[in-house]
Amino acid sequence: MLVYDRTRLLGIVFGIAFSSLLMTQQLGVFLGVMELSRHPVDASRADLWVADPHAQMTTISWPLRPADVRRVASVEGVAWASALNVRPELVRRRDGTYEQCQMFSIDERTLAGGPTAMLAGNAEDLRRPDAVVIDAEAADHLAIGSGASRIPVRVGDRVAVGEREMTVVGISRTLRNFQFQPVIWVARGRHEAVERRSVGFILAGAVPGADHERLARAVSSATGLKALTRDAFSDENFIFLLINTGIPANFAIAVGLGFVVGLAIAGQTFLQFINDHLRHFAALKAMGAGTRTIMAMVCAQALTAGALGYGIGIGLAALFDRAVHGTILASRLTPGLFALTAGATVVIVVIAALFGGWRATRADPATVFRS
Amino acid sequence: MQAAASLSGVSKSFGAGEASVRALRGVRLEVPAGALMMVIGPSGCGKTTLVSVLAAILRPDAGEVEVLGERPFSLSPRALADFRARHLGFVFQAFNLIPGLTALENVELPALLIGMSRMVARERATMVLERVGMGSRLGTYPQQLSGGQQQRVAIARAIVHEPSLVVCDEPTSALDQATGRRAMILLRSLAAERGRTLIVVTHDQRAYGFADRIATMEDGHIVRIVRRRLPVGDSTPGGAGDDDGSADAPVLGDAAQLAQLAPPVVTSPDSDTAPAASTASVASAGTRKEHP
Repeated sequence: MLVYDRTRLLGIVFGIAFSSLLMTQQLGVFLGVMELSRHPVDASRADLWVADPHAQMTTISWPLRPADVRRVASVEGVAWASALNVRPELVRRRDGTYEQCQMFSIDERTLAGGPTAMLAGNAEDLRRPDAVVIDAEAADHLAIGSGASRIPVRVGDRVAVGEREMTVVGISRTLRNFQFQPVIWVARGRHEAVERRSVGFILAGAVPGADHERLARAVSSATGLKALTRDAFSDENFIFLLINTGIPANFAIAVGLGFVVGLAIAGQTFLQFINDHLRHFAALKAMGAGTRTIMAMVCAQALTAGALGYGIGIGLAALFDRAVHGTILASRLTPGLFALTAGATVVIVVIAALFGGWRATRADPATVFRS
Repeated sequence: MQAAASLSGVSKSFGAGEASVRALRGVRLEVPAGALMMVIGPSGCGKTTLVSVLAAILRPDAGEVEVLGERPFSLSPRALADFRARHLGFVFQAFNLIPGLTALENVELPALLIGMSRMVARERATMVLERVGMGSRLGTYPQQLSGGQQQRVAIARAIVHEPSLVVCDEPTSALDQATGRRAMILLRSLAAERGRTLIVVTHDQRAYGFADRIATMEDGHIVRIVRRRLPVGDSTPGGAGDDDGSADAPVLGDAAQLAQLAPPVVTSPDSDTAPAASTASVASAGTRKEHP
């Protein structure tokens, strides 16, 4: 019946497609944004992250003392330990304009927490005086001019990092981060004094074969600091943002609206469809179709429309995900996310089918003789 | 003759208080097995209510109803639905074919409802559609069929599961004269070949000639029952899809012509099995007989 009633079918499919697109896309963006908090940690190549016991994420940590680096390094099973500071820093272009970047001040000996995939230049050159490595995003943001006259930043160019003139010695692949800012790396020992006096985090490497979780507990026990494996610290960043920001609530509102709008459009249209075809349901009842049969027919039609709409919705969400891949926009679609939105769509369809089915099963078979 | 359906003292009202309408007033009726009984009468006389009760769809306020040896309204709702599915067939005035299903799928439905496998239902539906002359339109959707073709599909749907009783509501009213005539020929022949009982509600005087019995209703009563005996062979004129218009079933333009076709026997509904000695024609039997 619904296949025949193209207008209603399109209405229901549109409602569910819109709903599943909105829910999937918004959840994908949410997941993408949240995942950004993991990137600097995941890219660090450190086995352990050590911070102040009350540190909450990579940008919120009470400074440690430089001596803490040696204390961590002295724990049995720790192969190396080095300091890392992460903070925002203004970088001026040659034309005097500037850009705020995330500056990673890394240990020049280990280069732990440094750039991992170089597009130009060499990360080792950070050990040279006044050297800075920038990521591709920074190279793009720090370009001068626009259009054909745009001059991108190249290796060898000079930029001002804070009050200090530095030379770009390398350009790495973009390191996406939760602050949506370009990233630059400098060597701690060769940067300004403040970097030498305090330590934000301590990155540590384990000796081969060491159990990282056990080692993290040992470091915590020995130093009184918070020591977590890289994955655990990454998770902690993620959970901190989840709990302490309004981001989940904002996305939840958007997803909730998608659900409600989908339910309203699909439910209303489906009910109209049932009302339009009450005489057919009445005829079926007169012919002996029971409540279960009618409900099964209604549910089958609702599920068919739901599957069509969901397919279109997630298809469009996948296209969006592909379109923003490699751009500043964040989106991450996972099987779990698809399962979640499929579940929400099933709920929409089931509610619509229950209301519609309830109406259809109450069609009076005697009305078929009154037309 | 055994009764396929019988009503005794059946009453039915709609609404309440002063707005209450008494659609049936103590109706008594027997529909003999294998007969084609027509129920006629002016609009609002209670025909639709009567047929709804006979079809075990509408529960009466009072009285006894027996259909095919069963008291349907004593059954549970589920058993009642199953009873209708197994034993009754329906032809509706507006056909009520399910849009979005092909002719074949529409006809399969009643067979599937009684638990036939899809394969058997499909075979049966194909056979019946061929029988009604729609074998070449199995995959056609209702909206692509003419009114007459839709009616033939509806008739096929009504008999595909071999019901003992077929209830037809104004089967010719949506059809032109020739098509309506062919539909009645088809119904009559399909009923005759399997000994089915047909109850036909109609306003259409052209159809009267196909009836074995004609029950006339007025104001919630059956006021007259005319028993007729069609000449052998006239019940199965031509066949389905016989479009030449030369079928030999009687199609009459008015009640007077009906009277000429075969000698009617006018009886009181109270004494259906013992007809009153009367030679009055249907046309002249206008006197209302109140049901006691």
